[in-house]
Amino acid sequence: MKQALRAWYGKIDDYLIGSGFQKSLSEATIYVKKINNDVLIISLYVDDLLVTGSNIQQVGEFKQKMMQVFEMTDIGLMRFFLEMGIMQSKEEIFICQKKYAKEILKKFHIEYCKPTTTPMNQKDKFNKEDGTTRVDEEKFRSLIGCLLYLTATIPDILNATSLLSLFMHCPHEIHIRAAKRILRYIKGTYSFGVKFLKYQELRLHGFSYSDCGGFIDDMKSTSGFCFNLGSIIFSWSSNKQL
Amino acid sequence: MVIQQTIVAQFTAEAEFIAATTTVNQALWLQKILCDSHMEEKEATKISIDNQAAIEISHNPVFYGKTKHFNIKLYFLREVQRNGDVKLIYCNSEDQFADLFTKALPVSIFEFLKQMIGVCSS
Repeated sequence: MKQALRAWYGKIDDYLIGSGFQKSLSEATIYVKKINNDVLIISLYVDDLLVTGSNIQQVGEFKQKMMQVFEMTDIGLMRFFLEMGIMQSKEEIFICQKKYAKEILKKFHIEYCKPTTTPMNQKDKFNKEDGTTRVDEEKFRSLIGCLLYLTATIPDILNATSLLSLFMHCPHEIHIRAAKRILRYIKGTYSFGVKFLKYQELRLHGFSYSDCGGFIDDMKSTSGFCFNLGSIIFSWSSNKQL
Repeated sequence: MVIQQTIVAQFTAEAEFIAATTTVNQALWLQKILCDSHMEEKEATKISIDNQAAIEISHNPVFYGKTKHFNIKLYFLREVQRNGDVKLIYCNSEDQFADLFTKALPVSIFEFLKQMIGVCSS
């Protein structure tokens, strides 16, 4: 049924708010409950719930309650979520997309290529009409789509990927060659990911940078930013200035 | 995103200025989420920029000859700084992690920044 998801969301939303959770206004999938000095945070993804909190006992109690009210199973510590592998220990959390990256390499037949050290050649400049032959749009789109999902844990390919995604409607030989270079870079680093360490003090710190006039077609610039809490970045973006 | 108009930056500080605005928008949103999860930021969020001119322009509401053409929407940076939500600070180009997200870099710098932002193997 088409409406099933919405009905489910309404149901769980009512239940969570009824049991004292507060819905975050800026991010509709986050619910927070404050009990004494402890915080219980729930992140909702369709029918998956991620629970975390400062008090393990409260997390356990919440899970028990949820299992009674809804037909849910507790699969314990998060290890795999949306194609992302998550390794948790007392001191650190490591997130990577090793399996997904391997699948992409296989899908685009890059398994046996020589890896490169950077995702993009410094001298490469792209424009819409460069004289080389047009290539299959469908394949290019699918490749860029896969790479964009990979940027969730491999931020180093973000700039190269978002640059190429601007040519989704008119891919040429040069663009697909650059995209293959990113794949070759991933070949060398597919087991890489982001590691979050434990920090006493959490302070939000942003970094903002722009590359002035990087595009040949219209002389527009690229904006890039990233944010960290403690010392590892957790939010990043690279955009062409509109 | 606030920036919707067609903008071609005419000098570097302007490009930085536009980038800073995007960053500030994200910072404000992150602040809200942190606040909702009871982890409020006590001080203004620092944002590092490696362009002194952009910071000066964002502080001082004087109508410089060079900033005449700036989009009025971008003056929002002054407001948020006055409210104490965000503070733009200067940093050296070497400590600028966001460099990685704007252009292709030589191997040595690329590897260094990659390490700095926390990308590593298991």
